[in-house]
Formats: sequence, structure tokens, C-alpha cells
Amino acid sequence: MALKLRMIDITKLQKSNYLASDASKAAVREAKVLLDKQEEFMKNGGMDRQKLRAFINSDYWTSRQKQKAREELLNFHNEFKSNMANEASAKRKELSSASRLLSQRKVKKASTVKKRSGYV
Amino acid sequence: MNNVNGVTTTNDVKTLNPADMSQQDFIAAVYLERGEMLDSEVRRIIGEIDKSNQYVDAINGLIGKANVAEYGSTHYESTTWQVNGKNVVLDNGYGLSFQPDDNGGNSFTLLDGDGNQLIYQNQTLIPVPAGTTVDALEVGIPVMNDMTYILDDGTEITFKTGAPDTAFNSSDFSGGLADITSIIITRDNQGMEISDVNDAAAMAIGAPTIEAPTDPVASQPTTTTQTVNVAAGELSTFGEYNGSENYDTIDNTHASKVLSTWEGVIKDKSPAEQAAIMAQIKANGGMSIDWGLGDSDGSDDYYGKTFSYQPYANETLYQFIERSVNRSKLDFRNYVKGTEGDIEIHYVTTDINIPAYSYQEVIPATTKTTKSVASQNVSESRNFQGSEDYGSIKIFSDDYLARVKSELAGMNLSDEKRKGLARELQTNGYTVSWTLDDIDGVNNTYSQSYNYKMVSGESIDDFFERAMEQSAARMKAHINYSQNEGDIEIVSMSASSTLPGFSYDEYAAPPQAVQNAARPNNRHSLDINNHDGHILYEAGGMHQWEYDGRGTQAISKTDPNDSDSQVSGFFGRKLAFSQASSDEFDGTTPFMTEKEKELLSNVLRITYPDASGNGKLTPEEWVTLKKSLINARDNLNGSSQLQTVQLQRAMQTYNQNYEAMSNAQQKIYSLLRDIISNVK
Repeated sequence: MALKLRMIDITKLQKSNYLASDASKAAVREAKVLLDKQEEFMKNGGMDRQKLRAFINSDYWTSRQKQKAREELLNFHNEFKSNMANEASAKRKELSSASRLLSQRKVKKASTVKKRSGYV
Repeated sequence: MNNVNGVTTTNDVKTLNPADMSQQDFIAAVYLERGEMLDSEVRRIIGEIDKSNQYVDAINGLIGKANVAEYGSTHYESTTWQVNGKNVVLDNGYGLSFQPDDNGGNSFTLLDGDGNQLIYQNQTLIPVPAGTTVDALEVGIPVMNDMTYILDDGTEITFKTGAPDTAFNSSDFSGGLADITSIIITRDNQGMEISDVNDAAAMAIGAPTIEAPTDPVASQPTTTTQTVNVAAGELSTFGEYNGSENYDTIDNTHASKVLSTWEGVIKDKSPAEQAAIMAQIKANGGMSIDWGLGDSDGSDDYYGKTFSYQPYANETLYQFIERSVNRSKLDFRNYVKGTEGDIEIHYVTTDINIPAYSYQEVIPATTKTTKSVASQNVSESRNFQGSEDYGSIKIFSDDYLARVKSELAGMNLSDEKRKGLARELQTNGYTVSWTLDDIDGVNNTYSQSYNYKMVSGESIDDFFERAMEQSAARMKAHINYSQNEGDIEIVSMSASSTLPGFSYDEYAAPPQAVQNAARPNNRHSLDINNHDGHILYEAGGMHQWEYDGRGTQAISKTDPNDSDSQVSGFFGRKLAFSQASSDEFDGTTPFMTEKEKELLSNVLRITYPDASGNGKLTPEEWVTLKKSLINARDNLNGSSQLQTVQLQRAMQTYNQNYEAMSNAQQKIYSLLRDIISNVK
């Protein structure tokens, strides 16, 4: 019979809200460093969002090219979103099995009712 | 076709130099577009994470308050604050330290457990978040009149101010600042005072003191005790045995009657009373039992004998009496048999002699009023039509008992009245008179009165049953045995008695235990004797204070010179604090700030009990709220972890895209330049 096993590293579980919010704060700090880097990069190039979009939509490119670009952007966007959603749902599963693992379960005690011996 | 991140087919672009444009440029442009898209996505997630972290912090603050309310001492047994040189250590991580300033006075710093500060210098209190610097004018709170800062755990820090150097001038908002002269710190019944703060040399930090709390509940106990003195008395049992010729009547029939009559009564006495009786018996060196027997075999003989017994250790009162009866019954039987031989037993009496004793009775501690109930005669007679049966006496006494019981029922006795009647019956007893007219041979009228005292532990009904049963038995023995009547012809019988008048005590109802009853009055005299003045509440740390329901930074006041405009900032605060205030803060438990109330009701949507209606929760209410808070925190904890992995995943893609762009940096830059300069 097929058995599905799932390994969970409970040492990585963050039960404490302090640990969880510390981890999230650290992730935000890291992200902000990169955001700053990209912003700097764009600023150095004199980036202008509107003009960039107008450029991509311009008649210089064939409609096939533009269509391809839109499709590519759409795919990228979908892929990006679904990657994040997958990551989140994996985490959600981990959290729910973690809380199952960490919660105390009642152990059913063996019944003390005596069975008839048959030699009544 | 979906609109992707603003990219549409609008067509208002003049082309760049076609010769310079290539497929590569287009791809690079798309990468840039991706970068923009990722940027907004990442910023959105970061915003969410920041928000939930803020909520978690606020919830943790509230849980801290709930813990203080639940476990914090409502009153101190001993001082918990410490003075180390010029530092004062308070509860829950709060502290205060003084430094001399340049003007011969002192500056000081109030600290919380997280390192946030409230710094006093130059007649201004400056809230400073941990690890940052601030502009005193932007955030400073001017010291002008007495003010009290209430910390999260309910500690009150009152700053008493001296006279300002120059009075406050409301036309240009100048002047009005004053020195802090003394600081009073109180929490519940602990308090301390720091005097001469404005004089570096003279400043004195007083030692913290504890004052005994006055507990309104303890000062009104619901019960008290009173001493009950019980006179010496006897538990007497009379048995009428109709000339029984069997000695077993003594140690079997009669002894069982004795024990069955008194077992319940003795066991129903309060433990205190039983102990008092036992102690008295031990002190007297024992207890005596009198046995008596009327015999009519041959000549009439009366046998009487007294036996004395000592209680054993560990015996209960009933065990001791049971043992005394069981031993004496055999001794008495043997004593009578040794003298008498053949026997005709008419009656046996047993008196168990209980000594005088006193015990403590529990009574309500409320005010008592004594009322009285009048006495009542109960008479009954019956024509027996010449009945020749002595059993008619018992029949008549049963009738009369039913009549007495019905009279008692008609009195509608409350518990308090029952107690009063019982006390009367125990003290003065109850007398019943019997009359019997007999026409057998010589006409005789027999009249006898019998008095019985109720014994504590006996119910009123049981007492009257005993009195009737015993007096009827005695009446029969009197006629049949003492008066030697023999055959009888009863014409009529009558009985009369007086249900005694009695007084009884009525106690006012004890004060109902009100929900959220007032807690002990714990306030230290330093707090009671000083006005709090303007009251500011800690709102998340020493660096955030609420005054009048809003943060101190947001205080604004109507300009006294121009009623149409509002003054905010430092001058707004000066206007707010320019007048003296005599407000009092009288809580002893943590309270909720406006910000916290808003978070609970608008963001977390947690409903909570709040009888006060203004966030001053009782400890019980805090405990209820805490459960919801912990649930909310667990939820946020989970969603914060989800957001974190999403952010981490988003950053991977973000990073790859950035790498791609920065690898082609020169190309992209020149493309951007072209776009900027050429696209109209």
C-alpha cells in the first residue's frame, strides 16, 4: 500500500511570535537593501516608467513582438504569483502539521471493561 | 488581452531612431518593466509585514498589561523598589536615574524595559525612543504645572512643579516653564518621594515605604461568633414497661431506647459544641449516669444507682456516651437482679448528666434587631367514654402532639424564629399538664405537669415528640404504678400547655458579593495626599504618551488670540499644560490607551468586557481579554510566517531580474537615455 510520508524539521518551527516577527523583520531588512539597490540603478539610468511603457507600446515594434512581450510579461507575472502562492501553501501545510505535532493529543486508555471468558 | 501592469496597446509614440533599435532593446525594456512590477509587489508585501509586526507589538503590550493585572500584586507585603545612589529601580523594568545639570539642579531619565526614555532637562520632558535622537522642540512636553505619568503597570509618577520663572504669556506663548521640585512615585500601597529635585546638593531620594492596605471586604466579615453558655442538664429517658418480668428490659429494650433517643441529637450538635462538652467532661474527671427502676414484684421497690465514666482519648462525644450507656446498663441490671430476684418492671429511667459548658456559635455579622413572639395556649380534651385501656393515654398524647404541631405550623416560623424558640425551649423548657378523670371504683382525677428542656441538636418537632411521648409514659406510670390504680375507666382526658413566648434575633442580609467588587483600598498616602494634576498615560513605552485621548505629539489647542486657528506642536502643548489641573487617577490596575482601544475594535475586531466603558478594565476583564489576545497573536504569528516566505520567494525572482538588468547595465542605460530623449 502506498504511504505518503512528510518530513518536518520541527527545530525550524517558529512557535514564538518573537522569533517569527524577528525573522520577518530580518527578511524585510534584506529586501530593503535590494530595493534600494534597484532604485539606485534605475535612478542612475534616468528611469521614467511612463516613457518606458510608451516605448514598449510604440509602433516601432510589430504587433507580433508586442503581443509576445505582453504574453511574456503576463506569464512572468503569473509564474511569479504562483511561485509565491506555492511557497505560502507549503508553509501553511508545514504550520498546520506542526501545530498538529506540537499539540497534545489524548491517548485513549484501554477499556477496563472485562471481557467474558467464555467459561461462564 | 489582459492589461499587464500598465502595458497596453496605446499608440502615441514617436519612434526612436530605427537604425539604433534592435530586438535586444525591446527585451531590455521588458526586463525593466519586470523590475518595476516586482518592485511594487515586494513593497506591498513589506507593507503587510510591517503592519502585522506592529499589531504583534501592540498585542504583546496588551498581554503584558493583562499579566500585570492578573498576577501583579494588588498590595505589597514588602518594598520592591530599590534605591542605588542616584538610581531608582521600579517594578517591571522601569527605572529612574538622576544626573546634576549645569544650572545647579538635576536632570533625570525615566527608562522602560526596552530602553525607551523620558528625559527631563531644561524644564522639558523629552520622550526618546530607544536608539534614536529627537528634536526636543518637536516632541518635548513642557513642564508647567503638576503632572502625573501613568505607566503601563499602573505606577503613578507625579512631578510637582515650582513657580515658573516668568508667568505664561498667552499672547506670544512665552514663559510659564517651571522646575520639577519633587517627584512622587506610587503604585498601590508602595510609595516614595524624591524631594528638592531642582537643587543638586539638597536632593533627597526617600526610601520606598509600604502602607498596610485597608480591605473593605475584610473589614466587614460576614459572620462572627458569640459565646453560648449552656447550664448543666441531663439527657433523660423514661421507659414505661407495664410490669415486665424480664430483666432484658433493662439492658436491651431500655438501653436501646436511650441510645436511639439521643444518638441523632448528640451527633447533630456542632463540632465546636461537641468538643466543648468533651473538654468539660475531661476537666471534671468524668461524667455520671443515673439509673432508676420502679418494681412492683411483691412490695414496691425503687432501685437507683449512679455510675461514673471517664472518656478515652480519641473518643467522640457519642462514642463516649454510647460506651457509658452500654457499660452501665449491664452493671445496673446485675445490681438490681442481685437484690431483687424476680421482678415486675414498671419503668426505667436513665439520666445522662451533661455538665455546664460554653461554646462559640457562628452568627451573621450584620446588624441585628430583636423581635418577640407572644406565647400561645394550646388546650385539648377528649371524652373517652369509660375506656378501660391505659393505651388511651398514648392515643390522647398523639392527638395532642398533632394539635401542637399544627399550632407551630400555623406560626409560620422563619429560620430566625425557630432559633429564638429553640433558645427559649433550651433555657426555660416547656411544661405540659395532663388531667385524667377515672371512675373505676373511687372517682379519681389525676393531674400531672411535666417540664422538658430542649437539647441543642434536637429539632423543634423532635423535641415536642419526645416531650409528649415521655410525659404520656410518665403519666401512665404515675397512675398505674405510683398511685396504684390498677384497673381503670377513663371518662375523659385533657391536656394544656403554653407554647412559650420568645424573642428572636433578625439579622440584616449580608452585603451581596457584587461582581467586580471594589478591590482593597491600596493607595499610598503619598498618592492620596497629592493631586495628580495633568494625567498622561504611557502608550507603548516611555517615548509615547497619551494626553486627553491622543498622543502628546498630536495635541492641538485653539489659539487664544485667534479662535479660528489651532495651535499644535510645542506651543500647543504649552497651551494644554499652562493651567493647573487637580485631576486624580484612581486606578490600581493597568488601563487601555485610546490607540489600543482602536486597535482592538477596528483592526483586530476583538470584543471585550469593559464595565467601566472607558478602558479601565478590572483584573477579571483583563484575564478574559488576554485569551482573545493570545489567539489573535497566534493568528498573526502564522500569517507573518506566510508573508515572510512569500517575501523571501519574491526576493529570489527580484534578485535574478536585477542581476539580468545590471549585467547589461551599459546597454540598458543607453536605452533609457534614448527613451527619455526621444519619446514624446
